Amino acid sequence: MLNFVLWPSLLALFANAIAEWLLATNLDRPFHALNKSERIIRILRWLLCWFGLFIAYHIIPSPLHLLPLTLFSISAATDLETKFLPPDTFLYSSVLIGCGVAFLTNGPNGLCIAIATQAICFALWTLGVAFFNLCDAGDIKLSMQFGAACGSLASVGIAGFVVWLVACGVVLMGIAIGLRTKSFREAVRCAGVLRPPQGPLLWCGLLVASLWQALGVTL
Amino acid sequence: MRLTLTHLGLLLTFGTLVAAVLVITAPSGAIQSLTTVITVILQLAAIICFLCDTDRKPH
Repeated sequence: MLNFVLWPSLLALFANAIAEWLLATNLDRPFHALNKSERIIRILRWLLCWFGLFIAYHIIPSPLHLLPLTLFSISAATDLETKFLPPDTFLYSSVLIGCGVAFLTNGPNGLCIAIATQAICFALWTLGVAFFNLCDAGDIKLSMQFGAACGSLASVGIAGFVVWLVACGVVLMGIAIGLRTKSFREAVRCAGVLRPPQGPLLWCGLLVASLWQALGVTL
Repeated sequence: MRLTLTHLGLLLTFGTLVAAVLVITAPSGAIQSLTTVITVILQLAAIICFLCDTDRKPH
């Protein structure tokens, strides 16, 4: 019982602390410089991160498998507030950690599957961005980390995970973007279109995909 | 249309996608290892193309 509280709490604390540090230093948005509504949004983001990691740990009870999600939530946090991602070194390290986790937990076969899944996510995301001409096709940083996060998760799970994840991510992104523009019709119309900010929305997609994965395992 | 390194990167990205699908569908361990190596090489080449393209806009 202690583990179910301890690990998600520690990882959420770690994610929020690193995100705060990056926002305050690299991206010049310290907490004390925010206005009231921005502070409320930031506090809600802290709570979302905690809640998300608790749910994910309930589904996949391994702190190692939560690590890529934790790293991804940091870039999602910075993207949510600034539309800018963390430094390159952070993101590239996250990819290596994601593949390393798969190797440690599932051996060489897990590493192969993680690399393949990561590559599929990278390719789909990069080609999708280029196809819709929404931002530069070389926006690889997000592609890589997104791929690392779900690549590691997929190494423990179900073969159809990636296909479902991409479909779910697109729908979630569309709905979230539509809600930001205050129109349900706009939400439905945007469901097939990818637009920034991608990080927070993909984070939501990963959480929902984790839930699906758990349902598949338990069923 | 002027061809840039980004176009080459996109082509390599498509190759990465095909190779990665082959990894998952590979019947034996040896073929899986080989296709994994090819996937990594293609992906690295695509990333290098994107990074080297001077027309690339930041996120």
